[in-house]
Amino acid sequence: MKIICLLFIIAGLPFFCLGQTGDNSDILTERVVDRPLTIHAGQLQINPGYQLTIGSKQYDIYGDKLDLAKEATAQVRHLYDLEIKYGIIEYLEITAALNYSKMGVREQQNWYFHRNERVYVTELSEYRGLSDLFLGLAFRLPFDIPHFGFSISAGASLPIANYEPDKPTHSSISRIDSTGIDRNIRFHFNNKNGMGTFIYQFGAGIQFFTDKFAITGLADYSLCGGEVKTITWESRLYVDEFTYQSVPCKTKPGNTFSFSIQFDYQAINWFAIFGRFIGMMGSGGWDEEQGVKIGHHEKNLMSVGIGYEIQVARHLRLFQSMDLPVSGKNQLAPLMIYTGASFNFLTR
Amino acid sequence: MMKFIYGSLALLLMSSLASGQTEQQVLPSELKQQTVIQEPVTLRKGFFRTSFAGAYTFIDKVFDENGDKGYILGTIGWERSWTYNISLQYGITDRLQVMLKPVFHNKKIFYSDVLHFGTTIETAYANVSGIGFGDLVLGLDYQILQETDTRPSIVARSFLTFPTGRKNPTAIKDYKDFKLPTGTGEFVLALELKTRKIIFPYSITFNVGYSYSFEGEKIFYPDYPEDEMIRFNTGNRLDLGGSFNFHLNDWIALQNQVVFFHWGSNKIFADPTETGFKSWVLSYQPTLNFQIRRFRLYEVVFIPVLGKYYPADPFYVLGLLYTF
Repeated sequence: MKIICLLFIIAGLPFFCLGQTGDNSDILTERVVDRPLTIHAGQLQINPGYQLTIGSKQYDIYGDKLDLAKEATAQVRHLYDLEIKYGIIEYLEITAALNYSKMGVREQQNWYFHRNERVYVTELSEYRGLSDLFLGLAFRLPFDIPHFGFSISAGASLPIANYEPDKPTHSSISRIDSTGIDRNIRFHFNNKNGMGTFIYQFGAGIQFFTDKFAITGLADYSLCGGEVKTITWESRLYVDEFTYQSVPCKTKPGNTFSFSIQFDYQAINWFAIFGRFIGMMGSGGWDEEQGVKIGHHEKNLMSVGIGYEIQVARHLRLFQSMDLPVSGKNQLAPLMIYTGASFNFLTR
Repeated sequence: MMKFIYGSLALLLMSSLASGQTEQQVLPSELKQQTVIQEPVTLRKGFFRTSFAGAYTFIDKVFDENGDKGYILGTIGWERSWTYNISLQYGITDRLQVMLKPVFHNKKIFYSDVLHFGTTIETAYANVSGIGFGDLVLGLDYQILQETDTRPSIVARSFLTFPTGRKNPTAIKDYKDFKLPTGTGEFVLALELKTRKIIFPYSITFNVGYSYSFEGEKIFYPDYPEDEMIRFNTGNRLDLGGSFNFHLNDWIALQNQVVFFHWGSNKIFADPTETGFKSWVLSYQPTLNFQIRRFRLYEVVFIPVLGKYYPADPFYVLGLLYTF
């Protein structure tokens, strides 16, 4: 299915591009520093993208950096996202966003030696699947102030994606020889990416711009809708065969405050570069283990990034960015590389 | 008399016809700015091109014996690798081109074991890395057929790999503390036929190739004594590929390549002889080319789609080339 979608996009690219013109006064070829905080009335924007996240470091609860690569527990996430925006009127846009991601988190491999028995244990927690569907509205000031823009936004993630983990696929292989018993046990957990509850989001944006530069600040607060009834899987191993039993449990995702400050420089009409600072702070939330609620530690992550955008054709923009962590607590310290396209159309 | 009049009229008309003639002259500097879609499949005579590319990959997942993509668990751990290469190309004639490509590797393998002896716990970390120049590739391309309005071009390409890189592990302390080799320790001869047709702003290519690996000798197992050289023979490789490429605008081109590789079994002539598995991969390789005058910046992502006994992670390349 992914291949079909990809081929469709590739096959469609020339048709989007053939209509290119050199006229930069068009809304569809509006320069980065001239774009308001919401898209224009009747403008349809389709933004597919791919994000590669490489997590070879992690911040612990004290803010110290742990080297996951050294422990061979580095992790990679592939995320494919799709965002669709539409300008209902000149100052009001609606957004729908969805993503699909997959990631495997390894634990260190353990060897247990006991008399003539050697047990080798590895553990992998896999996260795979669709995210919840985000729907949002953004509204900007209905009058123009020179070199200034302001917007507010509100939205919610609808819990449409699967959030209960699938049955684990553990395995065990034993081998007996003259020196004793060797057991190779692999724990493999299959998690999903859905949240299982509504996540409400409120935000605001502010923008200052000149002929060549723009500074944009965005802030969002995400609020969890309530506790989630889900399951965990318990397993028993008997003669290399695992049996599983699902156990009901509850969890509650925490709340998140995130912000970004982005500096855009319009080098030439069709090319802009940007630098940005991104922050995220999470608090609250808990998991229930054996009937006891265990609260989440507070977490935060600050990162800096650079990127560029190219107006390739009248309907097509390409952009790439790279973000590096600079500080954090209780959070993965990932290198994130994003490649995206933006297809823009006027429907009126 | 009539002949003279006709002759005079013809001469007069010739001058008027000739004055309407225009000749489009393309300067060499403009030819050096052609995009990957427009340029000939080999460099023009006297053109010199140099490029620098960096490639990054990691090994997180693998296609197993059933072709299923799964995470690597167990003793292999996690690996990341940077490779840099400089490519020097020169057009000897409009049809014949030579290429020289030295490669520099920087790779590291990570794994750790937590050892539980009753109540005593020890953690052992690997220290396995390799930095240095790899093997040197010499290439020769010849255009058998030059492209016209009606027929495609066909080019024969040949590559000879010299095992100039360090072929043996060094500084061996134990099986998880040594320096990785940066070369393969074998000569490889590769031949390829490639055809291309331009239907501007599109182009289509097909290629078929085969590479033959000569037998070599090197140290395979770092926990062996250092002088334990073992003969080996890497499996030969078959390549099949095709691409559909087009201009997004006058200076940005997108190449969409689908490539199939099949490797024969590797053989290690130890006692007993070890024969590896045959492996294959089908990959999609989009390449984005930005042509900025004589500079070309390109990004490639090698995305394994299907395969067997082959790493399933993407491979990223960022390169810059300049035509003199």
